[in-house]
Amino acid sequence: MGNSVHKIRYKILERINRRRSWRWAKRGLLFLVFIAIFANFLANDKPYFCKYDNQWYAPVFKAVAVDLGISQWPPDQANKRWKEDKYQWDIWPPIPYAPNQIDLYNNRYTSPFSSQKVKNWRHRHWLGTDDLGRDVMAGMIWGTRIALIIGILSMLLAGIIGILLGSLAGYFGNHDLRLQRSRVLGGFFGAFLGLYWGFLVRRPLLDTDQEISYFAGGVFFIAAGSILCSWLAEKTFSSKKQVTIPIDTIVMRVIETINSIPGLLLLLSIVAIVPKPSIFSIIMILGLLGWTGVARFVRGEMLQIRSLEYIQAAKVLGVSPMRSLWRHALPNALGPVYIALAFGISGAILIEAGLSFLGIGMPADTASWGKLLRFARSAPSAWWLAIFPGMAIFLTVTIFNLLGEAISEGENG
Amino acid sequence: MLRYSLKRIALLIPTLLVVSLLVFGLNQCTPGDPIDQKMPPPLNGVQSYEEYLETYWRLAKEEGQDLPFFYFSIHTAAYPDTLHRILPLADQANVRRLIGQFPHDWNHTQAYYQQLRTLRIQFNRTDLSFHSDALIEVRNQLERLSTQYQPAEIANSLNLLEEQLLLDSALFAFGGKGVTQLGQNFTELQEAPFSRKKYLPDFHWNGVQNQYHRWLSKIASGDLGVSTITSQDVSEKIGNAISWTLRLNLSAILIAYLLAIPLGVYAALKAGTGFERQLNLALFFLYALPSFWIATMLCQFLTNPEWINLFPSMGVGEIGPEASWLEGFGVRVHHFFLPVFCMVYGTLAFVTRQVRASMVAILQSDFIRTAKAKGLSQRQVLWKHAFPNALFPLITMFGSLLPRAIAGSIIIEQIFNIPGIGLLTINSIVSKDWPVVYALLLLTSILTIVGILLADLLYAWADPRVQLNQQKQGAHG
Repeated sequence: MGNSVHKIRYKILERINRRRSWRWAKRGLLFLVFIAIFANFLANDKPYFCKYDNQWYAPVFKAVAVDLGISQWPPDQANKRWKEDKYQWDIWPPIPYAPNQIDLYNNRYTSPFSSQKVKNWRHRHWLGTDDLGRDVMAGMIWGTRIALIIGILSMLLAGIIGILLGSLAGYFGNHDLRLQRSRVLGGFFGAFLGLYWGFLVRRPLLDTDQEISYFAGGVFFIAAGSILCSWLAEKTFSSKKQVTIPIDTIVMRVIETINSIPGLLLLLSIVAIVPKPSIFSIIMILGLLGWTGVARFVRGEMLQIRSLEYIQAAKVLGVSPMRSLWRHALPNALGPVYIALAFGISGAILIEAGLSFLGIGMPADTASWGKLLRFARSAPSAWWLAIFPGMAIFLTVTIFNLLGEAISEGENG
Repeated sequence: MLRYSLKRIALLIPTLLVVSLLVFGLNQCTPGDPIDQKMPPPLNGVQSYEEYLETYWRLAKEEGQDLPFFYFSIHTAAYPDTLHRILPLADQANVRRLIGQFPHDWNHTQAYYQQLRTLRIQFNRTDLSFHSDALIEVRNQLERLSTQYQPAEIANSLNLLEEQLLLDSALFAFGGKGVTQLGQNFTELQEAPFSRKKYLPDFHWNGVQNQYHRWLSKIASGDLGVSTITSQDVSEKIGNAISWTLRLNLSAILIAYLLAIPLGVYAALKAGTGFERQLNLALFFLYALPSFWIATMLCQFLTNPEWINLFPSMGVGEIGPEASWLEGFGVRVHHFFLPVFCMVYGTLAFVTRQVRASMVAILQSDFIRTAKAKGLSQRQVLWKHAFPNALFPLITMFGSLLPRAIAGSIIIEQIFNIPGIGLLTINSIVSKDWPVVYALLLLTSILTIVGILLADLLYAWADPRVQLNQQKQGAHG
């Protein structure tokens, strides 16, 4: 499998390098990823290194460690205002502002070109400020991170679900997925027990801020329950009777149902009732709603692959169906997945921008492009709040669309 | 055709059921107490807890809040079968948590909860004449107890409550017994013998007397409920909004199609030329331009005296009663120009690309070559032979256009303040007017389903091969 995946990746890079616009899209993506990863180091209200009271400190690095939970602020630095201190020696990030840091001297929409009340050119607000004096450039940089995290992680989840269901549906169709009856029944029973113990019994005892562990634990319970029970059932019951599962029909019906619900409206209503807005819940919802495109692509590809000679040969040679699906058929069906993922990411980024533009569902303190654009609505003269974040959304969406196009043209031609 | 249509319609039923279950489920997950929101304000400002409970019960019965959720319920065996009858909902939630904490014997939990409730009624009477600070403190403590479920917290509150009573002998004479009883109940609750009931599932059949059945039959009879904010009928609210959304979207779709079809056909004719490549690139960027960004910019720069004040920024405009038809039309066009523009360009790019792709494919097929060889003029070949065959993808797109016509303009409507479905959705979500939100979700889903059905039927009618394929598949399975 490793070999064939490697080959596909290689082919994708080759495809992308064929046209100049696609090469630029690739570079643009790398640039965005760089900004997203190093946002803390590009725009921060703390110095990289500083020296005061004859002590050396590295506040930016310390803050990263604190965020990761592997370190803690010493009590005298926990609420320190790093910018207002005098240092014996200090070196600052290129944008010496954090996205939520309020600059009282330059509040009420300071234009990038107007005179700003700053110490020196290093502290200039290059892209202006909003009404509270928050730096737009810092917001743009940290917004990149949010946009990419939501776009990529939600599509990762969608990709996993879509590949799993789409390949099962396409490879087995309605007639070829034959399973032992006792195992199927046992699996369903176990999934029910897992659902019951993992979600129902645990629910009243947990607080709302444990939603990630609650959800992950519940899913684990379901998986463990179904695997365990199907194994037990196989051992206990001697009947070897088999049932055919019309997996293709099932999956296609589920896809149809999901597609018949207006996505943005459903998203808005779910996000609005989630007790505490969080990026995690947005990623989960987008992933759980967005897998249908991937699944359709994979299914279509699998329908063709399963009748190819090498799969038939594997069958004749006695390779088990699951093995030939995962190791032989799937790696060759992944090409179109990348197309669906690229367009899916740009769609998810647009939705994230739309949600924060409306101010629904995103945590209030998260810097994002959509939020900056929302501020533009209340200040018609602040053109910089409308142009820069919108440009960022547009370029990011274009980059992913271009990459999707690059892969899909290679696929067809 | 009839058989195909019936089959296709029969397939809708499970989808509709799933959608209704989803909307109902979301409805149940909504934070806040729907009955509390409906409570009338108390007469002359004061209301005892007992009166509150009475009113609550009456309303809950009217709304069916005292019924179980669904046709059957699955819960832990530690729950009583009548848990859903414990109201208000906040109390029910706390009883649930109490059972989670002390799952061993329901009778003890019940005794504790009922004693607490009795005490709350007793101390919240409006005719009490005790030293007010102490009374308020006791009331607060009881209020706190009604949301607590951790043993340590409860014990702490109970202690504080007893201390408070000991300070005031009149208060102690009035309620000391009850509070002691409550403490005793709590001790018994803690000391109840261990049982594994909590971990055992229990299945219970509820019959048609349940909230889902009630909700569904209400909706089937056309009653979408009442807005909790404005007490208006939800159907009336939606009816008002939908006409604006339809006008906005239908004009946008119409304009987009009228421009896209000739553009797409022309691009297909010029396939391979520099013009086509440039057009393609332009459409590509047009498609990626976020409409809410363009809308924000247009709103900022074209409706603003500081830059260019060309268009009105807000709403749909007023038309005087004696204005002529033409004047009214002018006002609407003036107000609709920017929003429609923002919605047109994306659709235009998408549809043009589709038309071009399907025309290119058709123009290469054999029958077009034959038509050309026969000596037909280019116009005849193009519009009589190629175009009707290239229409199929446009028909399937119709399925996705109907729902988009309803829900697609959420953000645009919000930006330009057009009182349509989108603005209604946003406003209802922000003001937590849940009946409106869920009615909208259900309605748009149903319209989407109908749209997809229509597209499928149209497609089958236009291209009989679809039906044949279906039958072949049917014969297979």
